[in-house]
Amino acid sequence: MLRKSFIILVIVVLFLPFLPLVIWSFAQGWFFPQLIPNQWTLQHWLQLVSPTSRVIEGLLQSLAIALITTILSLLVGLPAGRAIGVMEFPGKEALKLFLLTPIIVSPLATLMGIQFVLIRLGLNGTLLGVVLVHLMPTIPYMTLVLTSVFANFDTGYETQARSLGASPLQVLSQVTLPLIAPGIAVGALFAFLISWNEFLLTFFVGAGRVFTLPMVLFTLLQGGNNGLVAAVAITSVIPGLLFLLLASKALENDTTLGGFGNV
Amino acid sequence: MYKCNTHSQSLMPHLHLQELTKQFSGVTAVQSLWLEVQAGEILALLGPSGCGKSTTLQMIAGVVEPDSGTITLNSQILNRVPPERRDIALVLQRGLLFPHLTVGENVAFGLKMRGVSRAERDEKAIAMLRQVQLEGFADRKPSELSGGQAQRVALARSLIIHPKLLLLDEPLSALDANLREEMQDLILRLQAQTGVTMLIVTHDQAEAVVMSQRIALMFEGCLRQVDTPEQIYRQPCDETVARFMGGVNFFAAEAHGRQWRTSDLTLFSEYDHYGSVQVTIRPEQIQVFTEGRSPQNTLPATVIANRFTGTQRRLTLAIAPELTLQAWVTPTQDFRVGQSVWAYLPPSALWCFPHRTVPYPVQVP
Amino acid sequence: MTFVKLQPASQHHSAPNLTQPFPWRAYLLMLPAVGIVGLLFGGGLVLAVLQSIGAIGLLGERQISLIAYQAALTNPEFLRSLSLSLYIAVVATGLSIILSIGLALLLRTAGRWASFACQITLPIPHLVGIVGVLLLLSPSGFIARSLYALGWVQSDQDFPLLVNDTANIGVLLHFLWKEVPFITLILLAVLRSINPAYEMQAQILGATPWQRFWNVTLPMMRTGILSSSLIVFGYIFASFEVPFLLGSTRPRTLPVLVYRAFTDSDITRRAEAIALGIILSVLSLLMIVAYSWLVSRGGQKRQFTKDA
Repeated sequence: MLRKSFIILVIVVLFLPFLPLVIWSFAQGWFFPQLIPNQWTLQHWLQLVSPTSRVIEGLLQSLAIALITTILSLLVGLPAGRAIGVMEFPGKEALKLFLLTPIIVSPLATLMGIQFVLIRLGLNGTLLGVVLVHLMPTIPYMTLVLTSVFANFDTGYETQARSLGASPLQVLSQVTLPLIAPGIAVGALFAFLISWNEFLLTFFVGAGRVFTLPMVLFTLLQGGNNGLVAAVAITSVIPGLLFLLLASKALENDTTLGGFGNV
Repeated sequence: MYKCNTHSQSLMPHLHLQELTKQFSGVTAVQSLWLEVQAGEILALLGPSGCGKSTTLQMIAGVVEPDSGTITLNSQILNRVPPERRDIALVLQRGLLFPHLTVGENVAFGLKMRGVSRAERDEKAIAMLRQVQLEGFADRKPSELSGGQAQRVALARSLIIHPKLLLLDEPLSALDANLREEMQDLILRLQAQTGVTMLIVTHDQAEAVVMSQRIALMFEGCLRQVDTPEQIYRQPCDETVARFMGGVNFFAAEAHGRQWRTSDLTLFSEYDHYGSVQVTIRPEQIQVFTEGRSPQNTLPATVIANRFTGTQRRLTLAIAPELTLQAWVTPTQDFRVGQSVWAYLPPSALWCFPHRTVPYPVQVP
Repeated sequence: MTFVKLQPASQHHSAPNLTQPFPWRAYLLMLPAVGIVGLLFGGGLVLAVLQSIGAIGLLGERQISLIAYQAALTNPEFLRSLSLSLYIAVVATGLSIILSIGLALLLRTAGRWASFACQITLPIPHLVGIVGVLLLLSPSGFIARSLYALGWVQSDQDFPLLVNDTANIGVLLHFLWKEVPFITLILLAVLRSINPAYEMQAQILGATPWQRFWNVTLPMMRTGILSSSLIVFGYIFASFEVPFLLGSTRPRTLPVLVYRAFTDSDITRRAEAIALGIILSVLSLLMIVAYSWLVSRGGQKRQFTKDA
């Protein structure tokens, strides 16, 4: 029972920061030292959907960027994951480590270099420019997950399907993709979450014109309207939470996370 | 008449299991099991997979807790003793060498747990490796070993702590046939050197026969017969045991003392029995001739199948309308299919047990 | 450094592989990922280096010199920022790892709901976490209010400063809150891939529960612990928004220092900012080298005394 109470304690602590968030988003004038606000209001939530707050705009831009980034990194990560997971070739370990650098090395210097080019290409402050830099951290995560899944994938199934008369495309759609589906789900989850949560990269390359939800939140945070900040914060949790729920089954598949345990 | 014997009588058993019972979520794995093992003895726990023999071993080792019953070793009741203080070693099928340790560190593991100094550990581990003919392997990683080598290291790792009891759970079933024999010799030699009491679990009747002094046959969580290999071979207590030990010839008869009658023929046995019985004779005991020799137990037969296995020629003989028997003869004896022959059933080889209507389904290996 | 094979390796090798004889196919499959990362990350870094030494410039001026690096390294704040960044990364990573090992061991035998509940901070944006920590831990935050209600503090002045404090307690707590579930998720997968029979075998060979943990479970988790440390340490060391919003105002962490220099109204400080950024990147790259060394060292074990 000691074990169970420890787990419950951990869960309580993990949920604790949400408590003031939820209260603040419905509070009207919640002053110290009130434990509970005297008055409740929906005004923060109404303000959130009004166009002046730019929250809806930020939500849509964030969603667009995160989805495009996820799809692109999936398209790039699938072949790379297959190569590292299934094949043997000289320089494999070095390339694997190289693909990891963007998630371990600070992107600040790189961003300053990239900005130099993006300005000249006219991509600074565009959605495309932001998607491009978001690929830097999402591709490594995607590759890491898919490599581990492919490493535990028996290519004998493909050989078997081929010998039964399936074309390479049929093998891909009927055999390979269904078998690595948990890896795709978890890789996509990580790519989506990273892009959705990204602040620094968007901040640099978006140049104030690409206004994602984290940018909205960052700007509001300087303003000091705690009620609205709390409402936006709660809003920006929802898509990621939904995605996590959708992928929770795949997260239980240990092969999808094995890659993180062995970079 | 021979009576099924699952209790051996002795005054001072080394290991004593009494009424041992274990259920897993309502399914009985082991059912009130009694077993006594003498000091220095090698006993094989034999049975089909899922019969509860591994569970029994795990209860002795202490990693599975029995629902009821007691385990006594050297007159000490072990039920409340944690596995790490039982001084019982267990070798599993795949050896299970710790992959993060070298071969030498694996062998020395038990000594390290007992607080033995590094110098002494190293020395003993190297000596132990020499005993299993793996001198010079101490610094290798388990991943660099073959299956047989890994199993020898596992054996060395278990013996280094001088266990009071060595348990082997299917130790050779993952090995190639020829390697298996080599390992059997090694295990028996090490046992002779150390005198350790050994309990070996196997599903392979041939292995049990070669390795052990006594066999305990187990079906569906119950012990069926505990005897020397030869006794179990020649005098199985029922059809299940006989079939598991490779018996293939069974037919019903009415026994009148040493005279056993079927509807078509009368056979003579060395054993007395009365009433409705199931007769069995091992296929390699039946002798086949082209002409009749003895008046008793010599039956006219027709060869209806002839299969060559390399070391044997397996004949199927039609003896009576409802009686066919298998006779396994030396390969030098050749017969045509359809040939008329004589089959001689030696009275000493004819054995029977009370008729059982529903035999336990056993797949003959 | 190979990926964990959760299935027996033999199954993998026995399968005839149509693609294996052509290594060029592997490189072709790697090309998009390596190309994009190389072009964006590598290319960006090269351009940054060129800018920092004045080979190319935003304003078109060209004068190659190491003056930016001199400015960066002689910046009186540089060493203090570096040690602050290292302090935060080391303490947060170390505590996260220790707590995660404990939590993973607790969750190993717990049910699905517990594991899922412990993943809750995984999808939460850092900024949301920052807001939560601010509203929870600030002098007028929820905890201060609760303590007031209990009569433990008399005013918000009595409550210890936990955000924007010199010890960076708020930053550390935020990272623990965010990274412990992440590492636990990884370690749980690692733990589940360990055959429990190894621990059983150790127990039979005489290992007490504590000895089993030290001699079997922990060493078998070693690679998982090392690689999640690398990912988390790298992330925290390079993190900007968390120390920017929750951390001490002086000294500032290295990324915040870089940002401040870059956005300084004095445009000539840009080169210095880029030089600082490159120093930050080089430090992270050194970390990867150190990690590789640590991992490869796992293969070299002490030699047994000479077999006589």
